[in-house]
Order: sequence, then structure tokens, then C-alpha cells
Amino acid sequence: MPEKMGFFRPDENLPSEQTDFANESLSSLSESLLNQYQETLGDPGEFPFTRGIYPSMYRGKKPTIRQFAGHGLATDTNERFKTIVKFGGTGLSTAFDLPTLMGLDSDNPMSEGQVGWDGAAIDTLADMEDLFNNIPIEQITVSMTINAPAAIILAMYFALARKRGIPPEKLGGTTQNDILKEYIAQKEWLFPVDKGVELVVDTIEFCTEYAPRWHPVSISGYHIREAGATAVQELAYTLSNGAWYVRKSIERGLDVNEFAPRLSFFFDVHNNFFEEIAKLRAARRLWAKIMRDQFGVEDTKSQLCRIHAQTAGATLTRNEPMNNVTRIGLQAMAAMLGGAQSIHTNSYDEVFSTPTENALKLAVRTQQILQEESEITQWVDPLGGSWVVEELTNRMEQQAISEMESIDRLGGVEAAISTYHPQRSIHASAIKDQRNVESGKRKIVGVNIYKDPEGDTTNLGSIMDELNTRRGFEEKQISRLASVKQRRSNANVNAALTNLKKAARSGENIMETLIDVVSSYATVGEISKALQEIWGVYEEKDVTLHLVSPKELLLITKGKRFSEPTRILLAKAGLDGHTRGIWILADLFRAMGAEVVYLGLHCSMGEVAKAAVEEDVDVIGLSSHIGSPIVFYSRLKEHLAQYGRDNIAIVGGGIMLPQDQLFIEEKLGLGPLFPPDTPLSKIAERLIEILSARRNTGVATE
Amino acid sequence: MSIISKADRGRLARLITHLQDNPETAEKTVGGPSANSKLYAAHVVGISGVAGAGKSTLIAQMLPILRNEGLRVIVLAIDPTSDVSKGALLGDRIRMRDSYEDEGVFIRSLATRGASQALTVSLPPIIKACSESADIVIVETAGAGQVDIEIHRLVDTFISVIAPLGDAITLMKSGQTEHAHIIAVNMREGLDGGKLFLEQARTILAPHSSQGSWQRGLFSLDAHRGEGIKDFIHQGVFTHRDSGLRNE
Repeated sequence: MPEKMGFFRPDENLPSEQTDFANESLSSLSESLLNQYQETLGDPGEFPFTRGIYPSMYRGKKPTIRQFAGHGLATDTNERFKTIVKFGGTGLSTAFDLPTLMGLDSDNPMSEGQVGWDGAAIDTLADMEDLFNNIPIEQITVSMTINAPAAIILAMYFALARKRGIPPEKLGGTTQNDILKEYIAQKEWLFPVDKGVELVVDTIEFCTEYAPRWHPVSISGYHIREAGATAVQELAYTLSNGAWYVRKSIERGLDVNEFAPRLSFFFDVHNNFFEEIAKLRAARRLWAKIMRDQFGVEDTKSQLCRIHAQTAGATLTRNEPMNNVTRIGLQAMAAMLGGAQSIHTNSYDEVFSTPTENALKLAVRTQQILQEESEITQWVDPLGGSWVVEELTNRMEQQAISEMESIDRLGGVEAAISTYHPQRSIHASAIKDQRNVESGKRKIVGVNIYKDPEGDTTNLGSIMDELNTRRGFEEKQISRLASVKQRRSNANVNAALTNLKKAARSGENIMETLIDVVSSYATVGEISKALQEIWGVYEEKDVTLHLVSPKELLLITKGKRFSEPTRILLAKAGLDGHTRGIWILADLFRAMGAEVVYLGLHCSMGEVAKAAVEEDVDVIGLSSHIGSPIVFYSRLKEHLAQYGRDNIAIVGGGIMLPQDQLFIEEKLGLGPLFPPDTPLSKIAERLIEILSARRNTGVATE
Repeated sequence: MSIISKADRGRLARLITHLQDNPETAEKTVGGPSANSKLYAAHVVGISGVAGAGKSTLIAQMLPILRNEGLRVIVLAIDPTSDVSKGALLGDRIRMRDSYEDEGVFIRSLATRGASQALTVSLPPIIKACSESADIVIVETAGAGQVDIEIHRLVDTFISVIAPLGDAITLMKSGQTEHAHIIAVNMREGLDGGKLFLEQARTILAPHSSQGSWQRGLFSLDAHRGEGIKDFIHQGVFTHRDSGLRNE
């Protein structure tokens, strides 16, 4: 009985016809394991590194507990860093707030409601000085989750070191700086794709020459996966992106053996335990082969796929959030069995906001228990040789290769992005997964199976108390920015910005110029804007829809449709780029017979209101995952009132605190709001009810 | 600069909805017959072309130039209603996002709702209503190519947007440029043979105009990069508007 061999796949990431793990496959596998051991596995620390990048793995060095942290002002995050060190965290990782990630200043109107919300607000070098106050940056390594403006933030770090008299060659750390996955999945971009990539190569070139301990790029599958990709897509697109940076750096004239040892990777670790382990093993094998076969690299240090892993935010549930603790523990174990070099464990309360202190502590403790109590670290590639794991590793590799070949056929990563192929493929996977959740095929405990009939009885009191103290950052940061601007010499800033534009126009490496510019206390926003004037901007215009037929989508609503005509405007609030949900809704509502207008990313609430009035929609659906929903919803209501159209219904969804939801529904009289975990069928049903009630009472026709 | 007031914006938007939802009374609502461009208070421009030709992108580039002239602009962007679901995804607006905030621009997305010829129900009365609140009304068809040439009867200046694909003779045979006052050839980077196509089009298409004594204009432009748009508007659209030949 094939199933009893221990290989039964509930998931659809791998083709279903392969779910039988037949005896013939077993014997061929055993043969290949023995005969091709050197080529497919190798001992740990040896090509192709399937079994790990070091011979002794965790016996020699335990995985770094690298917790991503940041909120509020730089000073708040500085405190949080010290807390992590106190709990025993062994690496620092900086979260920047969304305006910073988008290259905007805290006082930009588009930043409203988002300053310091999900990371530290950094406007100028002065904030960077606060962020690392009393932290000996020459002794620690620090990771920075920053992408489109990564070169600017890195320049600030080097400028900070220069002020402290520390030469860049003494600085160790990592900038995420993976712009390709931004265009593919996370959507925090500034420049056209080719310019974005050139800037990444600038940082690689600069670090290779002056800061050899710095890891300029962390090639990231995490965000690709969180946007809805399968494990295979995550693996394929990440390695394609990595190979693209290598190719572009070689074209720049760099020696691959000088920069490749400092490339690292960042993968998501989801619930499907063995598949995730296989993914990390396949990643190492594939990368080693790519480096050897495509780039002719023989030096093993340049063939290593160094992995940072993070547990999967998308698997966390808002209902019964304590269940997340177990999910995170299992995912972290998979990361360790897969041989990751450093691990971030999520906090169980991230479905509400940036973690509270107790949840962060529990996340660190989870890794410590795995490291110190389970004895997992005593074994090197303990699952190597398992039929299931080796076969899964092989299939993962084969299917990733086939997806990577399709990227090549489209003319490489940049060209593929411009055809929206990866974006569309990820969205198609996201829809498929959503349908599996709606139908109960993919089970989520406490959400679509074993749901407590009494409702969720989790007491969130202490979490909410702590989160309630995190208000008022925006005003403080805006006034701080104003005082920095007052103290600096605007003549110096302008001269520096003029130099920068000159350098950007010439096509030369701009890193050195950037260090001078940030030293004048020019802001992230001023610098980004100056570069955009020369290089242009990126906009995603073609929405990736119509991937599923209306008939199939209507299965979700059990055939229920809107009465005609129904017009719906869908909009994202603020700078947030989480489009997975809103795109699925656009397709679903269209299938239900509505005329759907989608506004695209980064609209102000004034623009949303104007569009809603012009389009004369029946309802606005607002999605917000980052930032204060109260700010977004009250602004939208105010703007609509200016047109005398505050009778347009406003519903919405996304990440929000229960008390904020209550305020919007009861005090502002808007909604209903649908938090994450709400089934699409329920959203559709409620919307039909609301619209027909309004029609009957004549609200919508007045 | 002239703007469309907040009150007018809301009122016009509601009126368009009313006209589209009640096609049988629409003409009466706007005060009589409307399928004749002589009746419009504004200059009405129709833009047609196959899906992907670059219509929305071209309009997006036209908007700031028209606004610089102090003109109030209304865009009616038509997208197809799905014959399966009866729903529609109205996606043209997203290309015009640089004008989202502009108080002198009004963008309305319309679904075809079963109307033939890639137009929408009640389009003539809707155009008439819009022409009273703006200086220029731009109608973008749903991009069904050959069939949406019907639009030329409803507008003052009819523009056909074509991409340099295939050869110009095929294009002439297809008839999609037959009624055009102006042909906009949307040249795009990386499309080989573009130059040859342009020469063919200039030679073959431009002289054979069915538009009376108006000499059909052919403009090459790059809608994506915004090149050639000014000439297209000033020498093309405005020249036609001011020629007095617009309704021949």
C-alpha cells in the first residue's frame, strides 16, 4: 500500500499524480542515493551541500536567534534591541516602518497613520544615531530589513560609523536589499526595475571593495511565499533572483569569488513540515549547481546557500491566537532540521500588531527550547537518507528548475517581471489556496475545523494594554524631523542632492555620494525623490486578474450573486502592498455580477473618495494591513462628506486591533469590517445583505 | 485653472448612473436626442483601438497636457461586461492615476452592459450630460477593435490607436482606421520593424481618408514614455477641433 510507506500529500504544491510513492520509486531512489551520492547529496559541508553547508552543522554553531524588531521612534527600537539581547537573542534585526520602506518622510501626507507603526521611523542620520545609541556596532552584526531605499539606509549606517571613527571594513551585518522580490511580491518599490537592480549592484560593488564583512543582499523568498506562492514557486523565483544579481554583478566587472561568499538567502517556513525541510535542502543543492554550472564557480565558499529562515506569518490565526505558539514551534523545528543558519520565530500575537514584549520573549524561548532541550542540534542532517525527505527534495528541485526555465524563456527575471508572469503565477496559487481553505480541504485548527462553539475565549487584555501604549509616535517623529531640519544647513543639503543627481545621471556607483548626502542630514524622502527625478518611478499597472473562471469562483458563494447593477470600488489604504486578499475579492465580486473598480496601490483617502464619487459606487471596500485603520476610515469619511456623498457604504478588512474595529463600526458608523480569517463566503453574503437593505430603504438612491 | 466643483462632480456622477440604469428614458432626461455631436457643449474625442494598443496609457499622458491648457476633462472609459458573469472589471482608470487628485479631471468607468460595438448603454445621453460640465470629453472604447468604430458617429474627433504590429496593409483591410480623423501609432521600445510599419502606415493609411476634406493626420508617439503626445494633441486633436471640418 503506497500510502503506508509514509508518503501521502494533502497539499497541491506537487502534482497529484505523483502522490503515490510506489515501490519502484523507492528502489530507484535507493539506487540513486547510493550511486549518485556525491552529486546529489554529498557529506555535510561538501558539494552540493544538500545535507548542510558545514561539516558539523549545529554541533559547531547553533543557529543564530535573529529576531526582527522595531516600532515607534528610533529610541523605542533601540530599547527593544536591548530587550532582545537581555532575553538571549544573538543577532539584531531592524524593522523599518512602512514610510521608510517606501522612501517617504514621516511628514509626507501619504505616511499618515503609518509612522512607527510596524517598524522604526528613520528620516535622517539623526534617527540612525538614536537607533544604535550605546550599541557597539563594531562588535555586533545587525540585519536591516530594507529594500528600495536600502542603499540610503546602508549609507546612513556607514556615515554613523564614520562619525564614530569606525572604518567600514569593521562593520558586519546584512541589508535585505532584494529589490526583485519587491516587484514580484512585496510591492515596496521606488525606481524602474533596471534602475532598482543597478542600485543593488552598486551596494554589492561598494561592499566588496570597502566593507567585506557586510552582506549586501539577502535574497528573499519569504515575501513571495507570504503573497501566496507555493513552496516550489518560492524556491524557483528566489534562486532565479539570486542568479540574476550574480549575473548583473559579473557584468559590472566584479569577481564572483569576491562577492558570492557574502550573498545569503531568506526563506519562509510553512506548516507542511517535510516539504519545508526538503525545500531548504533543495535550495542548497540547486544554488551550488547554479554557481558551479552557470557561473563556473569552483570555490566552495561561493557555492554556499546560507539560509535565514522565518516562520510563516501567513499561517498565524487571529482566532485562538495561542494556537500559533504550536505552529511557530513546529515551523522553527522544520527550519532547524532543514539546516538554516539563523532563524526568526514569529510572535503569536503578530496577527494583531508588531509583537508585544511577552510574545517576543516566548518566540525567543521557543528557539532556545529547541536548541537546548530537544538535542536536535547534536545531529547533522538527521533526516538525510529518509525516503520521503530525499524524494521530496528531488521533486522540489526538479519542479523549481522547470519554473526557473520558464523565467529564462521569458528573457530573464527583469523581463519576466515586466510580463507579470511571476506575479500572476503567485496570485493563481493564492486563489487556489484560498479555495482550499474555504472548502475545508486545507484545514486550519480553530478556524475551519475544531472551531470552539463557545467562540474564542482568549483573553487579549494584556496584549491590548501594551499595544494601546504605542500611540502618538507620529506626532513625536514629525516634530523631531522638523527640529533636525531646522538644525541642518539647507545649503549643504541642496548641494549634496545636486551632486547626487549628477552621479545618478552619469551612471556611476552612487554609494560614496550617498554617504556624503546622508551626512548632510538630507532625509530619506528628499534623497529618494531626487533619484526618482533622474531614474523615474515604478508603477504596477496591469492587475493580475481573471485567473479563475467566474463559475469556479461562484462555488465559494454557493452561487449567490449581487443584484444588478452593483458597483464596487476596491482600494488599499496607505502604502501597504498586501494585494492578495483584495485581488481575490475583485475577481470574486466580478464573478458575482458586480462592476468592480480597483484603484491600484498608494492612493490617499482623498483620491479614494474622489474616485468613489465619480464612479458613483454602491460600496467602497478598503483594505489595510499596516497603519492605523481609525485614521484611514475617518479620513475617508471626511472626504466623502465634502462631496455630500458620505452615504456611500464603506466596508473593509485587514489587520486591526479589536478595539479599533469596534471604534470604526460603532463610533464612526462604518463597516462591517472583516478581520483576517473571515471566509470569503461570509464577506460575500454580508455584502449582499447590506446592499439589498440599502436599496430597500432607499439609502443608496438618494 | 478651471475645475469641476465637488457638488457638480457628485451630481454628474449620479446622473450618469441614472442614465445607464434607465436607458429607455435617458434621452428624455438629458432633454432630447443626443446621438449627434453637434449637440454637445464640449469637444468630444473618441479613442478606439484593440486591447493593448495603449488607449488608456495615451489618455493618461494627454490629461496633464490638456489641463495645462486650462481645459476641464471628463474621461469615459468603457470596459467589457463579462457575458458569463454579467460583472466587469473596470481597469482603465488605474492607468490614469497621475490625475486621480486633479480637480479638473473626472474619470468614469463604464461597463458595456450588453451594448454592441464595445460601447455602453445610454452612451449618447451620457456624453451629452458630460459635455455640459467639461471642455473636453474623451470616450475610450472597450477595445474590441474592428467593431467599435461605431463610436465615430458619436464624437467630434475620432482617433484610432494602433500598435506597429503586422503590416499596414492588413490594417487597412481590417477597416479599423477607416473612419479615423487621426491615427496614433503607439511605438513601443523593443518592437522591431516599428519604423518600417510607420512608413507603410504613413504612405498607405494617411491619404485614404473617408472624412471629407479633412486630411487625416498620422502621429507616431510613445504612450508609455510620454513622447510625441504634445504634437499629437496640438497638431492633431486641436487642429481638427479648430478646422471646422469636424462634423463633415
